[in-house]
Amino acid sequence: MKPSAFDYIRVDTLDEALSVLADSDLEAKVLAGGQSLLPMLNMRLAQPKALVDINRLAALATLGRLEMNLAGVATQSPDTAFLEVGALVRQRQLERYALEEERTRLIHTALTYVGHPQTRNQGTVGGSLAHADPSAELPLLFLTLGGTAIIQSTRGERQVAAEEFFQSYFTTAIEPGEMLTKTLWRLPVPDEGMAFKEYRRRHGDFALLAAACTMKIGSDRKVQHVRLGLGGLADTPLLVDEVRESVGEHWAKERARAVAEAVVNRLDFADDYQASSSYRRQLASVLIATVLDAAYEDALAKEGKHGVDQG
Amino acid sequence: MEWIKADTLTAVTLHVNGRRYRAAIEPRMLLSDFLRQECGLTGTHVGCEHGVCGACTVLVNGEAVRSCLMLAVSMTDTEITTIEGLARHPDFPAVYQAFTENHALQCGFCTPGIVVSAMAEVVGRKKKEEEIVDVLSGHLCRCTGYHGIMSALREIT
Repeated sequence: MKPSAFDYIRVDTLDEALSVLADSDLEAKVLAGGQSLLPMLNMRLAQPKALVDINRLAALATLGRLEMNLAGVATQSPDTAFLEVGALVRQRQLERYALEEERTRLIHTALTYVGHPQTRNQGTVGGSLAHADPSAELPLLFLTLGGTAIIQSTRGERQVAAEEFFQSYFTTAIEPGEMLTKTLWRLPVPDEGMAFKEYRRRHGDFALLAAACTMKIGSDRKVQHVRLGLGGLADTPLLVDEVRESVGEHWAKERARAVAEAVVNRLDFADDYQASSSYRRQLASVLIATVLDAAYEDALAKEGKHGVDQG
Repeated sequence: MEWIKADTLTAVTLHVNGRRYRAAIEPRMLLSDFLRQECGLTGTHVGCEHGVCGACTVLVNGEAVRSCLMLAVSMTDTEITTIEGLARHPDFPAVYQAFTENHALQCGFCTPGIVVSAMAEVVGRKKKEEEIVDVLSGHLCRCTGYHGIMSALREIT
């Protein structure tokens, strides 16, 4: 359980990192927190020729709010708020930051399911997304909230929406020579309901199944918008289209069950060492309905409070 | 930029428990192996070597982390504290006492890692039950069944 030999390259600037990554003969892997990479190195599942240690790039470790109007211009009276998270921000740092306000509560909740405090102290947000484990919590949240990945290389910078970022098991839109440098997390609007549910065999394990939902209802209690994401079911986290049919409608428990049934009938479930396909199907059905109802209850509580404030 | 070739030995200096330790190592050496083999600090135990068991937990800049998931060569900018360093901390006797009185250990292999986490995350921090569970979930213990450890951690929070 020791890594095979590699060149160790510790960079002091982003330009140095990108120029090392641009050398295709080197086949260098980025070392950030190392909480997924080091186990793979120790078990020799990965044997890269070189590691680029980016831990000195303090500019990638910043975290803050970004308020924008609908035209995408930063402003004081925002329609949309993003959390701007440098790729090197530690998971624990984001977990503590996200505890501070209601609109980032879903991010906080999901992070408490990621590994253990001892791995979140070191593991980075960017590292988890770039690793793209299909049952990991951060990729699921990034997709459900509607995030944007900022990817850089010596050729420049490009932005990739979360929907296009995750491509398959452990595979993202990051090309050879490129590096994830920053992520933007769209925050729920004020009064938007949210819920996160996960089932796993032991605390800290990867999810057998995880579900995240945001839902906004109006004063008429009709659904204005809703997003539902699932993790652990396929080769990437999934956004569920079926739930969009609820927009403009009143919510009801039957609706949650109908969405859950439609989703489990569409998806394939596989047997593996952890659970049978029929068990997974049943679990998915229950968890989807539960997370939808929980998000609705949260939205209802917030809408009610809002009404009282105005009255 | 600092570029160390594979298979070459390079002298690095690490700050551990307030002392400086200098050794010639390969880039692939894990922090856990540096502590045990180069510093002789064998209180840091090595169990699974892939980040699951928590026996190798140490503090890096005051935060509990797994030393088998860190490269020694990348730790030159940091302050490392092992169980040997924490044994001199004024909070340590209370932790020792609580572990003894609550049967929080049997064979003791996992204990140094758990005590390191407890010192960083639990002692005097008024943690809620689920937060203590979250901290302890980062450690495997095959003897106690965890109840004794939870009782000890509740006493010191």
